[in-house]
Amino acid sequence: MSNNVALDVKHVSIDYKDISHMSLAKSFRKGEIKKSNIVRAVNDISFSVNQGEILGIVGRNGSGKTTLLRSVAGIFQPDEGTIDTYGNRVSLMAIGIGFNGNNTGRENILKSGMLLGCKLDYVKEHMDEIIEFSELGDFIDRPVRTYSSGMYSKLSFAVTAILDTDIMLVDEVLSVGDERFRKKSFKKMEELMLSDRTVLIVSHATDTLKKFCDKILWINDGQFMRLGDTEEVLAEYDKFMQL
Amino acid sequence: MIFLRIMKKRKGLKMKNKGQTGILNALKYLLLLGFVIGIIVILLFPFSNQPISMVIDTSAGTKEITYSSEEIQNMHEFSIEIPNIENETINEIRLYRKLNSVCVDKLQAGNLFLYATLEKDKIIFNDETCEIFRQNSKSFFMERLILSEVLLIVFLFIWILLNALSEKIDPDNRNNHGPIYEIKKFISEIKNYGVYMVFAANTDLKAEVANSYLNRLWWLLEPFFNMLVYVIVFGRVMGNSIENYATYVFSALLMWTFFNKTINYSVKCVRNNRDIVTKVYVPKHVLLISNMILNFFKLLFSLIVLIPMLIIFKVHIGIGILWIIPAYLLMIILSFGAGMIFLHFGVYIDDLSYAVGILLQMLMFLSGIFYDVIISLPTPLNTMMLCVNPVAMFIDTMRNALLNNLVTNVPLIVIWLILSVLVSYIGIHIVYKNENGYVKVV
Repeated sequence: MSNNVALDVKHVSIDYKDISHMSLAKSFRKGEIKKSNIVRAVNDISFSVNQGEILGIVGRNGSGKTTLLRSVAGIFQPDEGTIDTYGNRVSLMAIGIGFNGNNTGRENILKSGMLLGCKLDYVKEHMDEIIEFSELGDFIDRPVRTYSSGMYSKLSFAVTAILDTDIMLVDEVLSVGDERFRKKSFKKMEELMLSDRTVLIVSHATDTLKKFCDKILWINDGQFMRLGDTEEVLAEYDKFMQL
Repeated sequence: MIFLRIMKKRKGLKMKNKGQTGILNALKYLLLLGFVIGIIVILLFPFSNQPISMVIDTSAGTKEITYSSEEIQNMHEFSIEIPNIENETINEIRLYRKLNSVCVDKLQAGNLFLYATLEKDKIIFNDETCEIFRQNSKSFFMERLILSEVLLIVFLFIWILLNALSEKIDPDNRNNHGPIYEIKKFISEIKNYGVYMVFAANTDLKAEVANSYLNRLWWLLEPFFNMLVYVIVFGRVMGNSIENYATYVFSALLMWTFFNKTINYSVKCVRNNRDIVTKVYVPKHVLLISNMILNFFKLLFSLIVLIPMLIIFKVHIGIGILWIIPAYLLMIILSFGAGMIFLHFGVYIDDLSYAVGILLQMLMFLSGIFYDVIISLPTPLNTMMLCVNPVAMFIDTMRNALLNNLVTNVPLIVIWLILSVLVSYIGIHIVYKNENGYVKVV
């Protein structure tokens, strides 16, 4: 395992402005926008991940884990601080990016793959692999809206799992499909994580984290709590979470 | 604590800016002042009366005569000699001022008896026509508007240039929203996402008809039946004095549909693509352009219907038809620019789509799709509409090129092409500056 830093997050803070969904009438009364309360979802968090390392992120619901991941994925810039990925491609493992129910599975794989930042040819090369992994068989050429919800998740998991990037961000997607597929995807994740790939996992399942992670970051209400060895931090976190 | 820190940060930024870009800010104020003064001067400056040229368009050819402003002042019934005029058909009589491609008034062939009588080898114009001449000679409205638009272009251009300058002066400024950075970013993103945009448009197009019975045939059938309705309703039921009325309306509606669909989509763009926007970073203009490509596909299918129409109604086509290209170009750039601005506001304001719907409905009827702006509106208003409303202008230009083989509105097309590029830049700038917040809202 090399010790090159793959991801560096420095003093990152992210605000949510509570100006969602205004009506026209409201937007004319400008005072209301200015007074809108700013919620700090992530406050001054720093960490760095070496290449090949697996970092688990734990915390209560609403403590800013997903926000942090999205920010690392580049979906939005942090309000303060910097995130440096050293030119590595980052992708957030999510279900069904840009899927359109009326298109066939094949078309959706291409579209989704391109949105993840892959070239069209690259996605085409891996097409068979994705289809095989997703276990969809003939369904791949039917519109996605005819799929069962399990098939849908299988397909989207397959897309993100096969078209891997340098840094993977995983947000609670390990419980997909039936028992067989779950085992399969678990195996795939294991395989991915054991290879020289940098991974950030957000999860509440401490068993999973114990199995995979090299270190754990614990945040609570957007505040930095602990960063360190898996066993230690998880033990403390469990204690904290006891009623 | 947190609040204090924010305050500190803001203060620090302000101080820094003051030191390094103070002069540029002062220049901006000066520019704004200059712009306001310029507009006032243009609006109030007493321009002298203008000469008028009259073009008589007959089946045998055109004849152009120019009258100076003094002549027009003392004008009474006058006649123009054109050999054998009584046997020719007069298409229309157009009046121009100095800009000889922007028509200021038209005497319609159908209403010609109101203005003139035909005799052997000559047309005699009555006092009514002289009044129209005087009106058009006096009003300097159009030139004032055009000059204001030119001034606006200069103003916006210098403003952006000043921003670019401040970006150059202060390279370690972390506010990466300078024009140079943004334009570079835009171009590289267009390159990177080019394949995706076309592919997404293609799949969306397939998705639209995937489960319909007639499938792709709809792309042809829809414009075809539309056209049929216009031919029957406007050509037969509501008899109209405009020649080839069905083609006249249909060709304009094609452009309008593209513009309308793009703007309507842009308002809901980010929300419709919530699945994408919240999961990966996609430049928002990629989503808009992808939809525009889709609309353009459909437009091309409608054009296939238009071509046989031109042949059936025996429209004379000449080299002037090439002038529809800048008109279409203007339509595309303008809808992109306006779309980017609406895209931004559409994210935050829930009911904007209703408001935009109503505004577009109004714009549709103000843009002369079903009538000729120059003939139907009273004199100063018609040229004003042409100068201020780019939709009316590109539709008028396109129709003149397509149906009458005329190159018209050259200065207006050029002005609005530049303006719409600037508007596009402004739209891109607004979206880049605010797109961080979109995910948090939708």
